[in-house]
Amino acid sequence: MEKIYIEHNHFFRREKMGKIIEVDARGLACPLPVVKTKKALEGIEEGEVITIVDNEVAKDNVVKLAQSLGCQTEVKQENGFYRVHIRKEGVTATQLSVNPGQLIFINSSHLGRGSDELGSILMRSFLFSLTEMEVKPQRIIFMNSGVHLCCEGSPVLDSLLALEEKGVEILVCGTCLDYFQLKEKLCVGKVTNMYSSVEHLLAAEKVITI
Amino acid sequence: MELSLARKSAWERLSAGEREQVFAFAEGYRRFLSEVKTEREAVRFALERAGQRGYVPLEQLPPGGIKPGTKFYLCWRDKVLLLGIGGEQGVQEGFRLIGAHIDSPRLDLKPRPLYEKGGLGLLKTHYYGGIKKYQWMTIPLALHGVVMLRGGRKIEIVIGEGENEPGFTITDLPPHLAREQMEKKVNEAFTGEDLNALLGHIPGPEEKEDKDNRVKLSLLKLLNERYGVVEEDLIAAELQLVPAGPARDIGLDSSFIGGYGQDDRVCAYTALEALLDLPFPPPQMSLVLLIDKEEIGSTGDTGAFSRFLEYALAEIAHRAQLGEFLNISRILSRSKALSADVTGGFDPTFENVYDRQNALFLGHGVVLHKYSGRGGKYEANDASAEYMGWLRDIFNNYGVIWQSGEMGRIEAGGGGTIAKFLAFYGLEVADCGPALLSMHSPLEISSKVDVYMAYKGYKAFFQA
Repeated sequence: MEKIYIEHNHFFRREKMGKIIEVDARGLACPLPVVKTKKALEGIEEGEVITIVDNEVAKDNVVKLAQSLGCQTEVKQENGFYRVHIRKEGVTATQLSVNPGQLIFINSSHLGRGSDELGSILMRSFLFSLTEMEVKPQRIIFMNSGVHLCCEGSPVLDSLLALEEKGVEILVCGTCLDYFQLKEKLCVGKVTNMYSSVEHLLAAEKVITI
Repeated sequence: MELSLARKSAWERLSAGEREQVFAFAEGYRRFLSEVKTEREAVRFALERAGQRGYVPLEQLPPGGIKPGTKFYLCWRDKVLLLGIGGEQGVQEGFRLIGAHIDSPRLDLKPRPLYEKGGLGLLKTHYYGGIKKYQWMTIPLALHGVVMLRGGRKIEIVIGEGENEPGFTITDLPPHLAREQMEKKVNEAFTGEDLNALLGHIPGPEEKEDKDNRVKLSLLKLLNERYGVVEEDLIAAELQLVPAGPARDIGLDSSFIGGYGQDDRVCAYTALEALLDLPFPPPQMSLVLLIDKEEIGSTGDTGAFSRFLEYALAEIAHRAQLGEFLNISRILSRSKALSADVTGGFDPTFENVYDRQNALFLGHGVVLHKYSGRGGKYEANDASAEYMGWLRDIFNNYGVIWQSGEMGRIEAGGGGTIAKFLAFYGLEVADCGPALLSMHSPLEISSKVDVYMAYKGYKAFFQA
């Protein structure tokens, strides 16, 4: 049995190749590559969108968007850029599949203002208590200095890994990881972008901001 | 009446004495797999077997020469073979065809493969078909193929199959130095350009010119001494690196066969044996088509997306004195086919890529697929309900243990076969073949009972 490739383009396949749209998102900050790609995909019924980005985080975010819309993707690296080929066939989901539920939004590595030392102890205690709760949040989003908590050396990795294992989705801001140069040190959770973070925040039944 | 469709292992459903037949059939199949590793070798094997059973070249038959039971073959460019036997009804009533492909994923040599770097002589390869590249590294490989020498002499090469023969291999980084490699995605960590095979490293005598290529030159010298080959000849060559060594039984109970190239030579072998074992002239003309190039999209002059079948049928019709074009189209439209190809069996280690309800299980009999393809049935030949019903009744009446379903989850990927190209001619077609584990890997796994049921199913298709 032959493995089918998208590039196959002979007699039988040519007719349904559809439109090809190129989105040049090089130099654009998060979440613009995702937003522009989504708009391009919404603008065609069938065909291909090729988004060109200049960094790995943007590439991962665009791929994630495409996959959540049920599209097939392929990434090619070219002269330091990424070309994300997204194939849309027929009807796909019109928006990201966001399950509502409780969402915890952590935008600092410390809990509360006052003493950083105390804040760190409180954060550890907060996340540990969360692992012990019967009802768990649907997801936790980490932003700004909060992303430190998900990276190498964090004192709360055990709790976060336990939460992830129990089905809590841990989402970590890619721009923030880049800013703190922590991309290589991420230990728990998936990298996300502002666009899908906003979608999750708006769709959540309840948002608890820490 | 059984209301629901139960799932039960074929091993538990075999009739008395059939288990012995399953194991006996597997012996022959395993020997075939060990011997035959390219499309050319498959054609040669089939020609030898057919020759022993009295098959003659089609071109030797005079007009009107195809009668019930007449056995013939048509070989096309050494890479395609059509075998046939005349039916009780004339060919104007249509024929039954089983088409299987005899090419398999592998590593072809590039036109200029030979180079030297770091004191090592290496061969650059270009992968053929859909492979997971890392599976082809650090395993013993053998070189099979043909080379055209200047002046038109053709030499055939098989190096690395014998126990005492040297083989080849593709190297990989030690884990100690692979930190960066291990962090990449699999399809980015191993590229086509990384698949370079070791050829040697003894330098030739020191010469003033080309002193950086002493190993390469000494290897070229060896090639020339042993085969008469010069570097330019490698451009006019089909040289393929394939997994070395014989196929083998797998499992404590010897219930599986492990070997290279079972996609799709398992169907080629079972279809060939089914045709050769037909005891009487079948009701309609029975044909087995062994075809090339399926793994790269059936393209090229020896692929199913060529006009070979039409040409072959014109030759057949000529010998049945029906050579007008209208008649050929009519014959095609009255004909039935099985696209005999393998599919992916359920692998419990990776269960999330399957729809359990529709998964195909090793040891549950030959698979009858209504369609293959990907996504919204793209690239598929979607067989009709009528044809599926007809085939189902044949299999049930002839005691063929079979199953049906889909290879994997709809969005997990997909695959294609030659079915759509046969359908292009107007034939009724469905896909039928055993399910494999580790499809397209150097060691594909089949179940002996499924292999036997493919043979039995193909035979029933001709006989019914």
